[in-house]
Order: sequence, then C-alpha cells, then structure tokens
Amino acid sequence: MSFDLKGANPANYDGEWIRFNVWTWHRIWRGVTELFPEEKESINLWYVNAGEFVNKETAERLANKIDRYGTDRFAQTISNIDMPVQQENIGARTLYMAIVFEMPAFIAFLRSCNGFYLN
Amino acid sequence: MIPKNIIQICIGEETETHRYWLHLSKKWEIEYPHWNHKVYRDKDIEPLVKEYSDLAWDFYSSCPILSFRADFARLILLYKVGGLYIDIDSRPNLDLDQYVITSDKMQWGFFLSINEYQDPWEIVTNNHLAAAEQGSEMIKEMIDNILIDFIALNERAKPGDAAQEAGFKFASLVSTSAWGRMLQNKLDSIHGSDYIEYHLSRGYGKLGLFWITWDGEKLSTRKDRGFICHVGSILIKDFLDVNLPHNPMEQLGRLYDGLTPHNGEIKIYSGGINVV
Repeated sequence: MSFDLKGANPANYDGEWIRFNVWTWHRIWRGVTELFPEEKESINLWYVNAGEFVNKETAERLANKIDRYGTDRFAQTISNIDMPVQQENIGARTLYMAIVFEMPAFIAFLRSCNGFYLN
Repeated sequence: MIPKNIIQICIGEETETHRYWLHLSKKWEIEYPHWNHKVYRDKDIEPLVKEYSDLAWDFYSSCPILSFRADFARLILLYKVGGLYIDIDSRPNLDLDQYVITSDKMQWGFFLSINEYQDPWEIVTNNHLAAAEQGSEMIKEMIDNILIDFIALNERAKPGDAAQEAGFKFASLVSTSAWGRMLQNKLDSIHGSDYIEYHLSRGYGKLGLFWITWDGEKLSTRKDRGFICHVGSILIKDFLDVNLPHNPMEQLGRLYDGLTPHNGEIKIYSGGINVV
C-alpha cells in the first residue's frame, strides 16, 4: 500500500514526488505524531490513499520540525518504534540506514512541494 | 578507464511504480550532467542480449522474475557499453568521481561483503553498484559462468518443478551470492592466495560493504560510506521482489489495528510476486 506524496505546485525537482511503502509511511507518521503531538490533526486520512490535500504551510512546518529535531535523530527514533515490517529480518539498524538516507529528500520535498496530495 | 556512462535499468510493464523509478533516475541526470545517463528499457536491452549470444537470450527470455533478468542485463550492459551500473531505486549521495572511480586506470569495481553467519563464511556482493570498462574480460567471465550454470540448471530441471517454473532457481545463477563467488575467485586469482584472509589481515572488519577496484596492477579497497542511497528495497517496495513476506496480511492487519476503516484505493507493490 504505497503512499505517493505529490507536490501541488512543485518549485523544483525535489518537490515533485516522493513515495514510501506502507510500512515506512506509517512509521514516519507515527514518529511525527509521537514527537510532535500537536500535528496529529495535520493529516486526517494519513493511512489511506484517499488523496487528501496537505497545504504548503503544514508541509513546511513539518519539514522545519523534523529538521530542528535532526534528521539523523529522527531516523534513529522512528527506526526503534516497535511496528510491523515487511520482512522478519529487517531490524532497527537496517531501517535506520535506509531512513536516514531518505530524510534529506523528504525534507526537501516538504519545502519545495508548495502543498501536496497524499495518494 | 571507466567510461562516464551511468547505466540504469527499468523493465517490465509500465506502471505507476515504474514512473516513480524514472522520477528517481532524473536526479542522476540533474546531478551528473558531465556523465552520459541512460535508463535502459526492454527495447534497449533485448537486442544487446541477443547480440551477446543465443544462449544469453535463452537465459534472459526464459527467466520469469524481472529482478533476476535485470541482474543479468546489468552485466550485458556493462560489457557492451561500459560505465557505472546503478540500481534505479537509488539516489545520489557521495561524489561518484571522487569515491567510486578510484583512478583513470580503473578496469572494474564491485562491492564485497562478508556474510559471517554462513559456515564457512560466504562472500557476497551488493550489486546495486558495479563498474566496468567496455568489453571487460572480468564481466565476460561472469556472464559466461552464469550461462554455463544455466545449462547445468536446465539439465537438472524436472518437469513440474514449481520453483523452477516460477523462476526462483535463477537466483542461484545471478544472486549476490553467485556474483560473490565469482568475485572471490577473481580476487584469489589476482592476489595469488586467499584474498579474504589478506583483506582481514589489513585490519578491515567483516561488517559493511567494501568497494574493491582493479586497475590492472593493483586491487584497491574503500569502505563504503553510502556512495549512493539505495532506498528502494526497504522504503519503497511494499514487499521485496524475491523474498516471500512473512504473514503479510497479518502484518498489515497489525499496522492498521485501531485505525478507523475508510473506503479507498489500496496499492500493494509486490515486485515479481503476488502476495494478495
């Protein structure tokens, strides 16, 4: 159940499109809402491909919060959340290594998309 | 000398997932304008495989799992064109010219890692990145080894063997273990004795990926620090291409436990295997 975040009016390549699989998107959003509980209502239907629109201000605010927290620290924190993964042999270290590399692209997306659709 | 070609592969029926791979590949074009960048599609690859040999085409066209086809095709492309093969589900990270191309004389480069959970240890590659000169003897040896093993696999095949028909047995020919065995043999042959013993004696640990390159006179080793960001398998594909997931519906159920049901499209990316 992949999640496509597509820029509403991308400023450049970075803001066009970013995709996460079902496992990672749930993990990211769980991390966001645990670290920043005030963002819980920022995306209502975050768990289905319903095409919800997330505005520019929200996208930029999320980017700033994750960036201030530290992308490395964010990747570390969410890798350690006890959640299902697609394969038994994927542990926190493997998750961290993958997530930490993709965080700069995620932040760049949030800052350049000018709002996005979650599909 | 490694030609400045970035080679990527995107095969199979066009889907939204393919379009995302192509979107990722655009980043390489943007970041490396001084390299020739090309994404090879079915129509580009098939004539080159046929041109290599009839047996190569038999192998390629009879393999039902696309990721194994791509494993084989990257060797054919490296041999025919030369350059750097990079998996399409990757993003640029460290500078290729500085970290991956180790000298003007470089002839080939592969990742090496040591799987110490096997007894004896198993040498494997991670083939999301590989480099070779056009017409590389090393690459030709690898292709020809695979084709010899393919003939043996066909000779052993029994009618009605579901794993054979589904394509899983191709793994033994083109997997990272198969590449690892070929690389290990080459390294032992160049070094003149057990290369891994030498590698460990130099203080390199067993953990991680090592970028091993050959310039015709000496082997060089660099510990990988994420030369490229290979994000597809863990972060993008819902299920890996060739590993059967563990209780997939139960895991998905756990993920959605407590969430309010909502009608909507459900997209599952399962690579070569249908899981639902």
